[in-house]
Amino acid sequence: MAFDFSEIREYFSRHVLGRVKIKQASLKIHRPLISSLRNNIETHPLRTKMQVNAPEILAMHGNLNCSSNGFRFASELVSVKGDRIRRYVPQEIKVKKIKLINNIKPENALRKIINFPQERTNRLKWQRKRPALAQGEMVLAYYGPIIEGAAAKFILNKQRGTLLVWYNPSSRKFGARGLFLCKKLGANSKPEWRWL
Amino acid sequence: MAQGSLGYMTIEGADGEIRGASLVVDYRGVPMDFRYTDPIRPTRLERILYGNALDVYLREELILQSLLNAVEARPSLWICGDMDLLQPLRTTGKVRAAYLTHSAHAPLDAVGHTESAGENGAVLLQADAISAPLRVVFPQEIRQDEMTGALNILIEAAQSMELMEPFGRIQKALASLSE
Repeated sequence: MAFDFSEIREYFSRHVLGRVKIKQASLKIHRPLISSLRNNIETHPLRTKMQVNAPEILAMHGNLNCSSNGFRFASELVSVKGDRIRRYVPQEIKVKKIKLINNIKPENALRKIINFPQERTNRLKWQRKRPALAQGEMVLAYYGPIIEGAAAKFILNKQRGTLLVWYNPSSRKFGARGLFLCKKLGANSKPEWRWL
Repeated sequence: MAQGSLGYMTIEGADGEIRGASLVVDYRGVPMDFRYTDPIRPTRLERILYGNALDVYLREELILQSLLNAVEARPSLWICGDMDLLQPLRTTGKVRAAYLTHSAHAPLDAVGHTESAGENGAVLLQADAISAPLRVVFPQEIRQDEMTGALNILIEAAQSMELMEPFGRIQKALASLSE
């Protein structure tokens, strides 16, 4: 059996006419919400905001005395390292000038240098003069010049072949002489000193 | 009687320290005045800051000047055993000075004779009859009469003392004082 759909359409159209509200639907598609996987970093300054007050406001609390003269770092905050470079001043041991008197007590340094003997080397190879020698005698050495009147002590340094002479500093004698060291050949003979 | 005197000046440095001494003796070699400085030991920082000038500064300005100012006896002639001290003795110290060393030269004809020794205006001096001539150097600007006077002083002193001997005594005294 065949239905006539046109008759049914006409029936419903007459029956609901004027009671059906037709709304218009928008075809606009909302954009999808896109979220990032990255974390957003919010930065917040820790410093408090600088607040600049107008001079007029400051003036209300009395005039502030602003001056750079009084601006100083506390000295405790600054530590300075390093040493002062000192100018050399050699320390000097003062020694009094020698006075030619008997009871002088010289300072230690001067006493030391006075106590050191003068050393005379053997100058026989330069000395042309020879003392009168007995038979079998020979000259071993010649030492000079030596102030005979001022000499207090002699010691022959056999290792070095030199003669050590101590002078008496208070002596006023200046006459210089020479001293020969002679020895007679033979095992038992002792060396002899002879002034030139 | 000989009234003159000779001054001996020595400044030596070893092992990072430097010291000086002066000895004035009469013509017999008997000490009249002896001065010495304590050893000076520059720090590393001072060596860096002063550089090459440190040695000259210490020797010429400090030690030499201090010793010359301290010495009370005024010798007729200063003798140095270090050539570097000769000119400072003349310019800084304003004193008559000579640099003296031994020589291996054959003896000259007679005592008092001199002979040119070549460089630096050095001369050989036969100061006495019983030794080899000594080599003597004077400061550059010395006058002829000053040189003659200085040579005569050496000749006179050599009659009663060994001219080079006091240097050895200074060394022994300094070594003894260091002990």
